[in-house]
Amino acid sequence: MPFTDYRFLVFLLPAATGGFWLARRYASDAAAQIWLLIASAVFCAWTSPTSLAVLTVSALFHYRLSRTLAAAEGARRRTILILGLLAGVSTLLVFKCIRTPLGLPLGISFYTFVQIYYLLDVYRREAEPPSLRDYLLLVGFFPKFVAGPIVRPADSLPLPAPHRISRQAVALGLALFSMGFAKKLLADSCASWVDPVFAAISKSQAVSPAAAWIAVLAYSFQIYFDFSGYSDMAIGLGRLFGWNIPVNFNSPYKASGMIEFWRRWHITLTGFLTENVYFRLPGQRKGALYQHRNLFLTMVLCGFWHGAGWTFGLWGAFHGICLIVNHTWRAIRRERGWTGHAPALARILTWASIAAGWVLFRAPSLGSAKRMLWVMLGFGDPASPWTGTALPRVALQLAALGLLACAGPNTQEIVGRSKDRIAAFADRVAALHPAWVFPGLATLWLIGVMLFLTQQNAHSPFIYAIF
Amino acid sequence: MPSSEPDHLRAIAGVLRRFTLSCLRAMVSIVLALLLAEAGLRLGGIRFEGSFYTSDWYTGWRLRPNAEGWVTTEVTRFIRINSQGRNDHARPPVKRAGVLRIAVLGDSQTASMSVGPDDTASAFLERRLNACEAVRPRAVEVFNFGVPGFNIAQMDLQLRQEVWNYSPDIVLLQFFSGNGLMNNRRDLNNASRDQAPYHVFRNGRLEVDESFRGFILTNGRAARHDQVADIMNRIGLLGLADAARVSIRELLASRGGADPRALKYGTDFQTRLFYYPPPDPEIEDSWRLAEAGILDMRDQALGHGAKFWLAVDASTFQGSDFGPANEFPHWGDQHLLYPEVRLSALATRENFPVLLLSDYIQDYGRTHRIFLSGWPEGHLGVGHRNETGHRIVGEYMAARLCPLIAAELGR
Repeated sequence: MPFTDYRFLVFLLPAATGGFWLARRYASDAAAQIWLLIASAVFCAWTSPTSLAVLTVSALFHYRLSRTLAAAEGARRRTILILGLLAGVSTLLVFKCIRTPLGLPLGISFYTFVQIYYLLDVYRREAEPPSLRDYLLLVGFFPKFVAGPIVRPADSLPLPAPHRISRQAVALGLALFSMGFAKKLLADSCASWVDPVFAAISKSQAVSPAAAWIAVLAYSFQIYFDFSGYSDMAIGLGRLFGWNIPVNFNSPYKASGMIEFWRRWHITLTGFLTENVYFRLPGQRKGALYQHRNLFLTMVLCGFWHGAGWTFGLWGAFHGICLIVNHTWRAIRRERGWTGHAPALARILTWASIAAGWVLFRAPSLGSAKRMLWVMLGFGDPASPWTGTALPRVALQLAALGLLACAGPNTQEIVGRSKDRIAAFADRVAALHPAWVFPGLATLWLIGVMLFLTQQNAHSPFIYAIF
Repeated sequence: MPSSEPDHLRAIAGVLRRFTLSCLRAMVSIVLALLLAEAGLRLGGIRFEGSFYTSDWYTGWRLRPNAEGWVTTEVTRFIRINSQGRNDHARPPVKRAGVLRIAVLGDSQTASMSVGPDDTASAFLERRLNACEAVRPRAVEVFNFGVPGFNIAQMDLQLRQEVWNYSPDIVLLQFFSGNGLMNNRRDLNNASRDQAPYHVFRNGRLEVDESFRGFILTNGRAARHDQVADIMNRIGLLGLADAARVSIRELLASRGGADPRALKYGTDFQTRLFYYPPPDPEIEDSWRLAEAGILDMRDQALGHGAKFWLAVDASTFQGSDFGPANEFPHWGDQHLLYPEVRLSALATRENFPVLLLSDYIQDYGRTHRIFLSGWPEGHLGVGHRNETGHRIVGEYMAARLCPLIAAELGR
């Protein structure tokens, strides 16, 4: 269930936050966390009951294994770790590569990585096994289990105590959630420029070069606003329950190189892969050639993590090559002592490479990707959607989105600047007479119920929720 | 010691004051929330389908004059119905000398509510005919009398009650197999079953089943309802409340079980039922009612000294578009051009001109590899015709009608 779904906004979120805050106030922290666990289970089951079953089995298995691992000594530790890693990876492979009757369980790519992270942390003795309740929350906390961010367990444990949540944190959470919501709306506005064109391409129908370029540009913005919007919403929701979920995006389209891009895009995945894959591959200290090989393999793995299709693998390989080129270029500059900068050119080149990569990422097959790239090079049919009067309007809207994504401030910057004002606003609202607040909130809730009734199928899922 | 009366009264007055103050605060809070929600709906571009209809004693419903609001089903657009209740430009009923008037009758495909009055097939037809050398110097005025959901009986009644007020020289029925057949019988019409008049055969004669008037008397819109509808079309929250009401009604109706037509003919009945030979007596009856209705309209036209022409429109179900449903002209082993075949035979038998649009539209869509139906915001290649589709249909009809009109004018 996406966070923009009216069922979530109107029913689940008020119930989850209301119950959590009541339990926190009138019962105990433990009661509040149990309520949160129930809310997370309902969130998952409402979308797909089988996903809840898979999540529960996976979490219980890994929890049991982690406790055994924590208690084990010597070579047995390594064996248990390998067993855990194999279990995690094979679960991912089974669900991603084989079409099981269960389908692809919700969030499996993300919570499997969190559990692998956790096993590695326990193996390195960087994390102590928590209680079962805390572990289940660590893995299945609803704001983050569907599409991350991938929280490092050692950084998250022990879980935040509900009684320590401040009013200001809640206000900041709501601000972040609202900004994420706005980004999601922007992302959805791009879908109508993307989907018909990729659908036409996949059916070998005519597409004009202009339409293809618009679709790819729009998809670049769509995936950024969609995923970073989702992350902002997840971080904001986390704040409502006292969690400090790490930042996942930092204006990636402002990057002036592929290395920088991956430090700004899906930051938690980059961190996970760097720490647990790239640095763990053999030959890391044997020179640039081995490092480049490892980088390439890591990125191919990154590609396949997104989906068991050749397009994703190729997308990962393409990014791997771009990263190698970027590293090599840096080394050459260092060796020759070049200090000159052309930041605009670097950003344009980086952005163009990223956009080309999105063709592979979005296309349903390699053939479609090839056709799309071919059309973008000018070998298209001029008679197709978006070649008429709508073109200037679309171009203008895309330019505005581009300006926002490539030059505008990001969520952290906006919130950072407004932090004090948001806190002061929260204090002012708290000081108001209840008659000022609750009737208005109840009215908005009622309007939300009506929206739920009328727009039940209007929401669109987050792109990353399918990985 | 008992409390003094003034103290007691002061206490009550204090409670009342606090209560009144709280009520005022609550009211302001609610009003602010409503304003916030209205602004949110507007800023978020969340629109709700407006109400563009009013009750009609003869045809069940018609487009409401001067109604304006958003259409949202296929594409989100603000539209305005003219003061005469049509999706075109209002014109005086009295015909100017030297003007040739064409009244186009049809359902939603003709009404074209998702495009502006200048982008309908009727508008393109008018522009093209006025540019047609063979018709000049006579000016041509094309009236778009299309009303969404109309069956053949309603078009027939509309012709009788409304269209002749504008003295058309030619009546062009744009026949679409969706409403033109599916809505001809009460048991097949699931969208507006009780609101519509129907043709029925009684003792071999075509008559009108007027039982819909009971519905109008109990549920029909009075003038104040139309005013409320106008306000609702302008205020997002009211549109939302109305949409929520409709959703609840549909939700409750859906608990009554699946569409009986789907149970009888299969879930894909809408995509094929009326495009191949009638599979049962009910569908055959619907066809016979359509034919009888068409002939009645033809007779009306002749009675008023006007010409009657028929245009058999194509649907995306027939694959007559460069869209997802381009299995044209077959559905499995079933031929999907039955309407064209049957209505051509009727036209030949009864000696009136017929335009078949499917072949041309199909060829055009395929040759130019272009979507003639749907919008990128919704589903391309599905549903009602888009602006390009209307242009193609309007221009094609003009190309075919121009020599016919010239022949009528003796040129």
